[in-house]
Amino acid sequence: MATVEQYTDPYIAVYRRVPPVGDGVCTVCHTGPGTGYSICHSCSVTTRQVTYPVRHVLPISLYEVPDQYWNVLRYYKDSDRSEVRSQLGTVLAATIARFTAKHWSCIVGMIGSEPTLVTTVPSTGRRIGEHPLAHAVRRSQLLRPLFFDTLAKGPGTIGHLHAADDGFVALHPLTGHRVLLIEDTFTSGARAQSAASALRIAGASAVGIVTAGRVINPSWNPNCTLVWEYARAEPFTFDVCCMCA
Amino acid sequence: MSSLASEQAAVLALTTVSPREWYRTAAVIYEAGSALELLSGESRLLAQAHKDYARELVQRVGSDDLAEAQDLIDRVSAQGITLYTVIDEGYPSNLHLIYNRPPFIWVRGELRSEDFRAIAVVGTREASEEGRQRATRLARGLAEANVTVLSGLAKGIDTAAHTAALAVDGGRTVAVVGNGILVPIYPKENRALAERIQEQGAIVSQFWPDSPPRQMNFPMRNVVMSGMGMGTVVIEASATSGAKMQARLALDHGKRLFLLDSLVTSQEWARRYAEKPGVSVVRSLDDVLDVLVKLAAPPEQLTLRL
Repeated sequence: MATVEQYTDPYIAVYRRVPPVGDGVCTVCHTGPGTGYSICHSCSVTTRQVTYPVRHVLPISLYEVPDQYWNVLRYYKDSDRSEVRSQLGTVLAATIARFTAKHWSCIVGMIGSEPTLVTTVPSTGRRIGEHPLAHAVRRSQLLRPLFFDTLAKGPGTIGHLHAADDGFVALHPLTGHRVLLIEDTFTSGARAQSAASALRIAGASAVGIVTAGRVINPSWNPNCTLVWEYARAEPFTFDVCCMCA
Repeated sequence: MSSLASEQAAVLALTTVSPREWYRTAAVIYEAGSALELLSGESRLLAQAHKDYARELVQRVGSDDLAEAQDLIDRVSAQGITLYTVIDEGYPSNLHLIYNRPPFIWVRGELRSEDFRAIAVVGTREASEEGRQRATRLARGLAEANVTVLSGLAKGIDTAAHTAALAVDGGRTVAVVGNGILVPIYPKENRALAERIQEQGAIVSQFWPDSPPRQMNFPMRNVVMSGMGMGTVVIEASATSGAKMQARLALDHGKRLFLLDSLVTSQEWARRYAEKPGVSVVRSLDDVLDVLVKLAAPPEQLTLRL
C-alpha cells in the first residue's frame, strides 16, 4: 500500500521549518516583518484591501526562489510534461494530506471549530478543467469528503499586493459553513485573502487558510534573514507546525 | 541559422555570462520558456527574483556571444553529439524534477523517454571484490527490469554497474561524466566501455565541451546524476567519497536514497543516513523495485499509515 509517508519522507530535507509567531515573525504569514512591526508589509496591505481578511495563515513550509520546494509548487501544475506533473503533483498531494491529517486539531483551533467544508483558491489565469490543486486536495482521504469546489474568478482584479473582495466569487451560498481554504503558494496574500473574503461574503462563518508554501526573500529585511536562518537550521518534521510548536 | 539552433545558442550565451550558479540561469530560461525572448526583453517570468536576475543576465550578453555559442554548437554537433538545452523537448524529464538542473547537456549516444525509469548506482573507485559483485548483481537486476542504470564511468563500482547493465539483452545504461564531452574518456582503461555505453545508452556531460575533469566538476556532475534518476543506490563508499555526496544530494532533491545493508553495517556515515526519513536500507533488488513501482505509478488515493 502506498502511503503519504512514502511520498513525503524523501522530501523531509527539502521542506523548511516555519517559525511560530513571535518577535520578528509576521502574525499573519510567518515571514519577517520590518523592524518594529508585527505584520509584514504585504500582509498589512492585503489584509486591509478586503472586508473579511484572515488574521492567521498556516504555512506548511517556507521556500525561496528557485529551491526544490519552489520547483514542486511551480511545476506540479505548469510543467508541459505529464510525467513531471504526475511526480510533483503526488508530492504536493501527499504533503497536504499528511500535514492536514497530522495537524487537524491545529486547523480546528485556527478556524474555531471543525471545518464543514474544504476548498481551494482557484486560478486567476486561464486554465481548463479541474485545477491541479483541487485535484491534489481530493487525493487526501481526510479532505475528499469535505471538498467542495465553489470559488471562481470574479469580476474584480487581483495582482501582486492587490487583493479584492470581488476578485473571486463563491458560486454557492455557504451560510453557516466553516471553511478550510487551501492554497499552494502564498506570496503577497492577495489571492488567498481575496478568496477568503469571497467565502465570507457568500455566508461562511469562519475561514482558515493552509498554504503548502510561503515564499521568502531572505535578503528582504533583517527579520526575513533571521526567519530563513531559523527555517534552514531547525530540522523539518511533520510532528510540529507553526501553530503547535 | 535554424530557429532551434538560435534558441540553443541563446541558452549557451546566457550561461556563458552567468555571474551566479548555472542552475539559476537554467531556472530563469526554463520559466521564461525561451532564451531568445529573454534576450529580446520580453518575458513571461512570474517570480520577482527571476525578473531581476534575467535583467542582469541579458545586460551581460555581448554582441559576439550568440555567434560564438552557435560556432561551438556547430563544431560539437559535427562529431555526432547532441545538445539538449533546458527548453528542448529532448531534455530529460527527470531533470525537471530538480531545482538545480543544468542549462544544457551534451549527449553521445541516445537518451530515450523510457530513461525516466532510471536509478543511479554509485560507489567507491577503490571497490572490494564483494562490492563489485554487489554492484553487478544490482545493476543486472535493474536492467532486466527495464530500469536504466546511471553511473559515473569511474573505476570500481561505476565500471561494474555499467558493465553489468550492458551485459543484459536490451539493458540500458547512461554515464554522467565530470568532464567536457569532447575530452578523452577518463580513466583511460574505460575507453572501450565508453564506446559500448554510447551504443547501448548514452554518455552525458553538462560542462563546456573542452572542459578537463576538474575536481570542482564532480559535485556538479553528481547533481545531474542524482537528478536524472528516480533515486540513487550507494553500494560501497567511505565518508569522504563522491558517492556519499550524491547520497546527500539525492535527499536535497527529494529523490529516493537506497543504502545497501552491507554499507550500513560497515560505515558510520551510512548508519546515520539510514536513520533519516525517506532512506531505505536495501537487502535485495526487490527492495528497490518495489519503491520504483510505487513511484512510477502513484495511486490516485493517498492513504495515511495506520
